[in-house]
Amino acid sequence: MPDDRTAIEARSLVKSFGDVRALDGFDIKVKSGQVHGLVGPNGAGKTTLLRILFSLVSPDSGSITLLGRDWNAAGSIRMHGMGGFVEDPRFYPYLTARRNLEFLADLDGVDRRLVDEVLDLVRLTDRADRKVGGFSSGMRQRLGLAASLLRSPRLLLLDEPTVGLDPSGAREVLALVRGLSAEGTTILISSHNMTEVDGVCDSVTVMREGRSAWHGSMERLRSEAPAPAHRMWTSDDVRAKDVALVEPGVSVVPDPEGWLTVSADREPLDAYVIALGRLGVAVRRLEMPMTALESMFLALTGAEIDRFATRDQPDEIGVTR
Amino acid sequence: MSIATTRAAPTGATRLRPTGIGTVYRVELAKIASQLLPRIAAAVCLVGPFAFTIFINTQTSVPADALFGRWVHSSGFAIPFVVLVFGGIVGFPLITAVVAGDLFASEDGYATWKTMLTRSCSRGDIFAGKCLAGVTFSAAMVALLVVSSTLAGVLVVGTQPLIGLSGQVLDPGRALVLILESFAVALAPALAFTCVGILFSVVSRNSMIGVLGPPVVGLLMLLVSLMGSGVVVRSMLLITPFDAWHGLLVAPAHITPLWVGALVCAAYAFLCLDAARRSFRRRDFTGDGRAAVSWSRFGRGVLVALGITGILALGAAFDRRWITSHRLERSVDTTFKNLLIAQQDLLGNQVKERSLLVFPLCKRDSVVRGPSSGAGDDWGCDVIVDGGGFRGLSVSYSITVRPNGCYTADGPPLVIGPLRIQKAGGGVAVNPLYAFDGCMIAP
Repeated sequence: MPDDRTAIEARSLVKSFGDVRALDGFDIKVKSGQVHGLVGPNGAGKTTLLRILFSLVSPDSGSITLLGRDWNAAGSIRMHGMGGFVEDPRFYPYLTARRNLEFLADLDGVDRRLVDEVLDLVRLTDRADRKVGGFSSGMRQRLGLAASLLRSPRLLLLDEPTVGLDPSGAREVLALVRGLSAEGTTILISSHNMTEVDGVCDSVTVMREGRSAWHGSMERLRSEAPAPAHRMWTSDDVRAKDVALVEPGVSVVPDPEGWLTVSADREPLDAYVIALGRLGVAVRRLEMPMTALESMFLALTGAEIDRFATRDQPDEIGVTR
Repeated sequence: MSIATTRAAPTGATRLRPTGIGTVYRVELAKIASQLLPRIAAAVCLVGPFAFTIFINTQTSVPADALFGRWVHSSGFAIPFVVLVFGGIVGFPLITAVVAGDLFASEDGYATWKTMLTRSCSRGDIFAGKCLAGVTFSAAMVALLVVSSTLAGVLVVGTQPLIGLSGQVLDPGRALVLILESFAVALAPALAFTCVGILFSVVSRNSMIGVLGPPVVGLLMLLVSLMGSGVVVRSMLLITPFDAWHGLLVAPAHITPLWVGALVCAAYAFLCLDAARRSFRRRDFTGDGRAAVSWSRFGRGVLVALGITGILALGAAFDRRWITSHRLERSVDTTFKNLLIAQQDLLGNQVKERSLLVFPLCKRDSVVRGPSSGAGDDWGCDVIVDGGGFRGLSVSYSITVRPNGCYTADGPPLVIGPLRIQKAGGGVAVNPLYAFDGCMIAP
């Protein structure tokens, strides 16, 4: 039974589109007041889950409880207290940002005076009277956030909230998320950006092929994560892989971009790099290690991690975090 | 300092007002008013009749092919009826579809379904609110047309009496009432076509198909109606109620077509809205909401439409014909008699209706044996006039009967006089008998 401390509970969700099973018995439970991350490779079912939670798509089977109330296909959003967006937020291009929000405020039954306030929160006040048709994707993203905040949600569902934003804009959005969380709002963030999820979430669900591959708190994840992984570029990847076979505690896997992913703790990694040098294999670049979440993601899904513009630049050779 | 880090949530009062169909309706109306295409449609409805009337007034010829077209120089009240005739088959479906066909599909085009459906209104509210807004726009356009065309006619041409479809003279007050009633009658099929547009909009998810679909349906139905003059198939077509107002303009008035038309319109509206509602409620909003036109789906739709058209056309060809020589003779009898009285009145001769006897004998040239029936341009009526100062006067008219039962009769100038005649009181008037229009009303 869901209790007041559970904001989202979904059990055995199944959704198929033709022959494709987007969700295959998916389970999730998010406690109230938490920021929960939803990560997974493309096609894992993240967006389908959000669409179901927003009543945009009906599940084939399974049960959902949102804010203590049963989900219904006719419009769970009628349960006041939910907000957010799925994929990139879209608005009427022939209307100004303010007019768009006023219409949405009307549809939500909230006071239009809130429009100025939320525009201010997402720093769009100076562009409020411009038509949305001329907005960049980052500005639309901000406007989407403003539209979500109009409802003063207790549960906020955000799909890639920082996509399209410049680094400072992304930092502001994440700060806003933290602020909302501090005020008691439960937030579910679907993201490809592991650094972002790692930095802002209290708990996480890793999705794979429509199922929950891992679910738990970030503390637990850090303790269970496999050895940190590095990305390495050498003068001879074939020999580098061969060397890894004889070096204890080192695992090397080529990635689709032509790099080598090296999983090892610090000491075995040092020994491995020294061994490569002795054998005449130059290490031309060694990037920062993946976060615990990235390592876990890689281990659970085997998928390559998307790297975003907001991500820090790679460190120079030999400099690891 | 970042604003986002100073406050996280809006601080204003967030008490929610109840929302529902009315909320969606108001928002949709405001959205419609903000868009270019509906504004253009409204401008066309407002300015079009004035432009048409001013243009026609500068010409010596008249649009005699349209009902009341031959009277556009003689009475300003003819203008709204000509607009009604031109608007009927393509005009009204197109104007109403500008909004109805775009109402739902534009949300797909702009990928805004996910924005709209994640607010506090249910899908049912959104569907109903949008439909109401579409219907309101259509009704507003019809209202705009009746006002602008009447004003254009009255201001540019004048408030002269109008000749009705049975040749009866309609004084300005009666003509004005009939204009309002006729547009009110045309409103029913206009709204039904709005519902067709809504169905196209929901199912196709494409604005172009949504907007052009209803006029194409109208044209296909026109094609079917041209295939035959059957009463059953014709009454099933949604373009037929656009002609129902003819019943108000004949003497005596026939209101049966009004009720039949209203029922047909209601049936189309119900079926279209129900199908659209079911499709909308069942739909999974995946992807970005936009659906590229699926050519296989589009092709299937075209095939289905052509199949239905073919079946209806076949049915129309074998349907019971209601246009008969007997009905035509009855109509010509009344119309000719009234027009003859009107003509004699212009010439200063008082002819009493009771003293006038008219005997029309109508048949098709192409029919050698048996009774004549059906639409065609090979009808001929020999009209023998007796009494009222005439003794066995014989007039032969060539008559073109259209599938909707209306006809145009062209007479011999040697017998009935030239196009323009000298009025007894001075001045020149159009000779009512030179050529005239009339309508038979379907049973």
